[in-house]
Amino acid sequence: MIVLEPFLTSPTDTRSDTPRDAATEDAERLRNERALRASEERYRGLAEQVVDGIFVADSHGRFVDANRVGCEMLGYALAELKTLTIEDSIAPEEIARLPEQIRLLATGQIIRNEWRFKRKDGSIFDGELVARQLPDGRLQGVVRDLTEQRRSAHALLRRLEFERFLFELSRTFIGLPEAEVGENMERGLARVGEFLEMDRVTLFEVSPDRAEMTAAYSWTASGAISAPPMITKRAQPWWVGQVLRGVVSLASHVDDLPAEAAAEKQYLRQRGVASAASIPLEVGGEIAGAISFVTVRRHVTWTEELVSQLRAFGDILWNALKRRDAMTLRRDAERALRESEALRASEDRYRGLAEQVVDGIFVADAEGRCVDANSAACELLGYTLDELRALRIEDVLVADERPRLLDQLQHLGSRQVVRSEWRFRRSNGSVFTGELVGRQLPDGRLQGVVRDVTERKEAEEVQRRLHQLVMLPLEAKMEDVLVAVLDMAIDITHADFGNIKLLDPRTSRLNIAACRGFPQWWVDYWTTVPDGRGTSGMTMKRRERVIVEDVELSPIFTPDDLDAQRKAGVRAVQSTPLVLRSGQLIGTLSTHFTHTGRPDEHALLLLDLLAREAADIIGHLRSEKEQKRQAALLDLASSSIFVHDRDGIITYWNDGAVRCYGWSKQEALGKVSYVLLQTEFPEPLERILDVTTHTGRWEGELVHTCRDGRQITVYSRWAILLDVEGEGFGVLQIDDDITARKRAEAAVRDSEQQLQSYIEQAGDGIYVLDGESGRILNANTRASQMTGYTHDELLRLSAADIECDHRPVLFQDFPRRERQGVVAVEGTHRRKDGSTFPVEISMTLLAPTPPYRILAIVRDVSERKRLERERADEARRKDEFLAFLGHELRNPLAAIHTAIEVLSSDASPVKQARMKDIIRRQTAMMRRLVDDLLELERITHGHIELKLSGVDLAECLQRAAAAVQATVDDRKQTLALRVPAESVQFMADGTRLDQILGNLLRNASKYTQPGGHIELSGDRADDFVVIRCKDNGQGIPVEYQKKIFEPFSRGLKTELGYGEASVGLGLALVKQLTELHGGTISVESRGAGLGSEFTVRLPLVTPSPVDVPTPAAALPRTRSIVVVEDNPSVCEALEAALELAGHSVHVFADGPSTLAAVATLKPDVLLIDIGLPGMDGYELAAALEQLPNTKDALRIAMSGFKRRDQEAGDAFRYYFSKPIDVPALLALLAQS
Amino acid sequence: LRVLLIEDDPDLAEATTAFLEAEGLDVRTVLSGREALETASAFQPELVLCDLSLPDMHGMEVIRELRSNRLAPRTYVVILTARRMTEPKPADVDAFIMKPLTTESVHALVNAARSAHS
Repeated sequence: MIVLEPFLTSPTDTRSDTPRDAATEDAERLRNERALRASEERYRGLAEQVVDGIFVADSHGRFVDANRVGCEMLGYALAELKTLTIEDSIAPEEIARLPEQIRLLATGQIIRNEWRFKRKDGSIFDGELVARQLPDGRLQGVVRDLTEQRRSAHALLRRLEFERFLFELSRTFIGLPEAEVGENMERGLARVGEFLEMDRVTLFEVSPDRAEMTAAYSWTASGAISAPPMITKRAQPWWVGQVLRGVVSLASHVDDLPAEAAAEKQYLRQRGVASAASIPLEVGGEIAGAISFVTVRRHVTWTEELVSQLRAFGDILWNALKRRDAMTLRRDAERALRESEALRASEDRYRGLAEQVVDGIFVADAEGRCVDANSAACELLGYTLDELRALRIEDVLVADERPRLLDQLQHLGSRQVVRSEWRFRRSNGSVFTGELVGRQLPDGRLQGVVRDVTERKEAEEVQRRLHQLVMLPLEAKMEDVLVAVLDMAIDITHADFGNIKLLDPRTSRLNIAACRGFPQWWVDYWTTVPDGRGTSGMTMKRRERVIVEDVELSPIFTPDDLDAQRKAGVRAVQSTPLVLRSGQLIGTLSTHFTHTGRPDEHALLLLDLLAREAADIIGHLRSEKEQKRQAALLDLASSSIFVHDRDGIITYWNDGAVRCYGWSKQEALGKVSYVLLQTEFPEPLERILDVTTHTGRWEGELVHTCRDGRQITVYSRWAILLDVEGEGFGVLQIDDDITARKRAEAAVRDSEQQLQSYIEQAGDGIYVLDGESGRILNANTRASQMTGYTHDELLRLSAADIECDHRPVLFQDFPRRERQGVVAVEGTHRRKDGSTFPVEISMTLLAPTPPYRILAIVRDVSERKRLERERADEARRKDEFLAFLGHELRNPLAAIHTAIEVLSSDASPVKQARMKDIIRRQTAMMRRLVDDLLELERITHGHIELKLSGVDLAECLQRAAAAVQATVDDRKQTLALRVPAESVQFMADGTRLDQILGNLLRNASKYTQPGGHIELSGDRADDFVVIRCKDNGQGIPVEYQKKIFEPFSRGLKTELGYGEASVGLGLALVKQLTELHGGTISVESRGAGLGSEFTVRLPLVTPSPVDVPTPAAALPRTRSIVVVEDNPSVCEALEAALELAGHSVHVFADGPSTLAAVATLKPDVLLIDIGLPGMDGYELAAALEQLPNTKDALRIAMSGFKRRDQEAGDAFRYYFSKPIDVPALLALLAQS
Repeated sequence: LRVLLIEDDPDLAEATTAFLEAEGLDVRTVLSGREALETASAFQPELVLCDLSLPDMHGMEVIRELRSNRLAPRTYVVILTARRMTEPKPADVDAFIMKPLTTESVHALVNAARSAHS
């Protein structure tokens, strides 16, 4: 089968390994290079998205390629790197172990280990290398900068902190007794405010008439303006309206608020508010309040992520508040009292402790019954407090731990503090290992503090995961990190203000990136002064810390600078450089003091550590920003990105995945990815994970089921995620929905298959040709069949090798001339064996732009041409036949006509008799001619059947000679007859044999001059009967010896110069009859005037005894004959002729009278005219066959028409055409 | 009027001869080209009727030979044919006549031959 794809694009033939011409090889090399480049570009695109450095080196260790990260990691441009070797990129002490590692790679091993790498500037960094040998022998290394990982941990801590904070906040409020809600609410608002760096957080409640909102709780940072206790619609109509409509209001800048919020703008501006946000809160689906956040000193970008955090905090606080309200209103007073008392009592016992730890704490009575527990303990064990109270200590332990319990309780009894590890069983049956610190309380009850070691490990795991997720687009904000760092620096140095300045990588200017405690004008001032001024300027110049213990005494400030410092209240400054591990200076971390002096050495040491960490984080965040950009692009490209661990548990789920699969982040996280998505893998999951683990990646097509049940096909790319220790802990999976593409591909494939099957089934040869060179780029099977070349052979040829009349000009002009439409030409194709055949070629241009491709459809028209030729031959024969008839009939007609003219004059009786003889002879000739014609036609159409019987050769020869004797005598010729010495008897149709011999003899006589000699001989030769007819007449030129057996070969005579005479039909008939007998006829003549010899060879088939011919004399000579003929003159003539021969004749004019009469007759012979009126000859014969008197009679048909095929059937034995050859009829009657 | 008839078919030759004689013409009949050439010089025909297809020579060839030295220049020469002649009439042939001969055509030929001699 031919692959269709090449038909439509460019063919790639890898099937043949035979040598090609140079052009083919060039084209192929070009194609391969292009394909390679494309795949390399794809690979590069992928490589650029990873955060690891990827290097490719040749087997000698010379770098040949690296991705962007790799170049940056080592500090070289790609071009520089390509001039270096691996040795140049590692620390000097590492070079020694390099050769051994390269040897390992050569054995196909993948190596994974740590190296000390050397940058262009000479600095050293630690990196983890995963390396392997590529199939082409080159080495590929993936390097991860480990410092990068370490520093990313800090950014993650910040994130982790949020999670933990949210968790703790919810733990504080969920299940909190209502009496404590108020107190906790204020603390909660404060913690949220501080955590989010807000200056004010307020919880508002909507009044029942929905006209105003009251501040239920509010927290305000020191120095900021507190919230108004009540907001009315009149005062702030826009905002209250927003809240009541349930709309979130956000303003990063107060001026961002819309025009209709004029009152709000004025209010906020007056109070110096920078940014504000409000989120409506509901109870039972109705808006019942709002939480608002306000900043004074800084402008906040209200990102989606931040808003969701605000909402989360608001919900926790609001729910607590509302639950308290509901409880206050509705709860049974007694029960409330009991519960709150119980809780208060328990709280008294361990509140101090519980506030410090997140461990599970429970209290049991002396019998081991659980009487109380904190929420952490409940959560840890999976029970509610009430459920827990119904249990004993042993119920929460694994069964085999129970014997140990008694022993331990005794120890507790001795008031010892016991620390031990236990295996606990949760309510759902799961088991965890916990560390238990138990002691006896003064009242005799037992207190246990349980720390879930599993949880700790899980927390670490979470941290590691989060750490890795930093590699992915997350929401870490540079601003927040800088402020946190700055606050820490201020704390460490006991400073009063501080700022961080960073070099803008694009402008190389030092900008204030974070700032604490300075008024705006101070910030503005330092923004305008040139770089290099002030403490930080000096720090940048010196690349080391600068401490100004007293600005008044320092020489580094200009008067303006000093003035600014004074106004801001700055008396002392320290500025520490921020340096990346690569040695790059990126900014300063400065703290300012309102008093003179310098931080102590311990503080400075801590500051150094902080500065280094800060630099790490900043460097990381900058690279993270780039990743975010890439992630955004990926999101735009509708990629779904998620992370799952080795067990498939989803730990990260991006927006793209939400969009693509329909599961929200909350729904997806924690689920097993391939269960959630019902993934259909192309190979076992184990193998995919194996590949991913060993090569770091896997790619393939997966079928996923979306939340709505839709099945989609995705192209999935997996990359292994490594933790700090280099262990794979998860898989980053990027899925692209290619369902539409697949569907389109399938549609194309279907139509291609249809087209292909059409092409393969086509009865025409189909070629795709190169428009320029005519080279065959592809061809279908039919083309091979037609030309005799194999498919591969065809692909090495061009149109000119196949097409004899190939015109290169046509090809070269084709693309220009024939952008559309079809060009059809006739041509001649040459087969592999050199033979040719006529074709019709139609050509179409496949592609309207270079490279031009021509689709050529070639139809073999030899059959059609042959038919056309045959038709022309037939037409020519018809013309010849008509001419022949004209000539052959006109001569006897002329003789008859002239003789009649003479008869009608008063000619002498002798002359009259002569004329009558002429007429009789010529009429007989014409009759013979017509008989021959009909006979020939019947043979040609296979309508003749031989009636074989045993014949005697000598008798046949004698009969034939006797038949022509008169003619020969007329022409004064001599006829010699040679019969075989012994009797030769064989199977033949006697009548036909007479025709053969008669025609040969007449022919010989005709073309032999008067007085010539003719010889007829016959004998047996082996298994043949050989009959020769020889004359010494005109002879036949060799070139015409074959043609003379063709009917109507009239042209022959004319060319010979013998006038218009025709050979006639005689020889054609002889040949046909001979062949019907399975024999052959040949002619031999040494040329014109040298006589001819015709030889007939018939197969000698010996007759069986019944067929042996009996002597004619033995036959009865008198017959009873019935003649049925409606033409009276024919009747009369026949009756007279038959009666003359001694037969008794009865004549009837139609069928019915015959049938009526035969009852009294018993005829031997029935001679019936076919064309009778009413009942025709066939019907009559069939009827007579049924009658006893006539069923055995010999039935002979007479007709003016040639006999039809089926008419040779049973009804008639013999058939005579009119006019009846009376002598032949008499001969038949004599024989039969 | 002396008429030379050249016709190879014996029956047709005999009938035609009888027909022409009945018209009162002096007819000499031959069955081949060779005989025609032998006869012509002595007989000196005024009208020659020649069949186109002869066993030994083509009719045209016979005419050419006769015209070359055996005939009086004004002898009227007619080719008898069994088919309609489509080729142009050669200069040494005075007429093509389709077989069979009719009384009318014989009269016309006799007139033509006589006027050629007078």
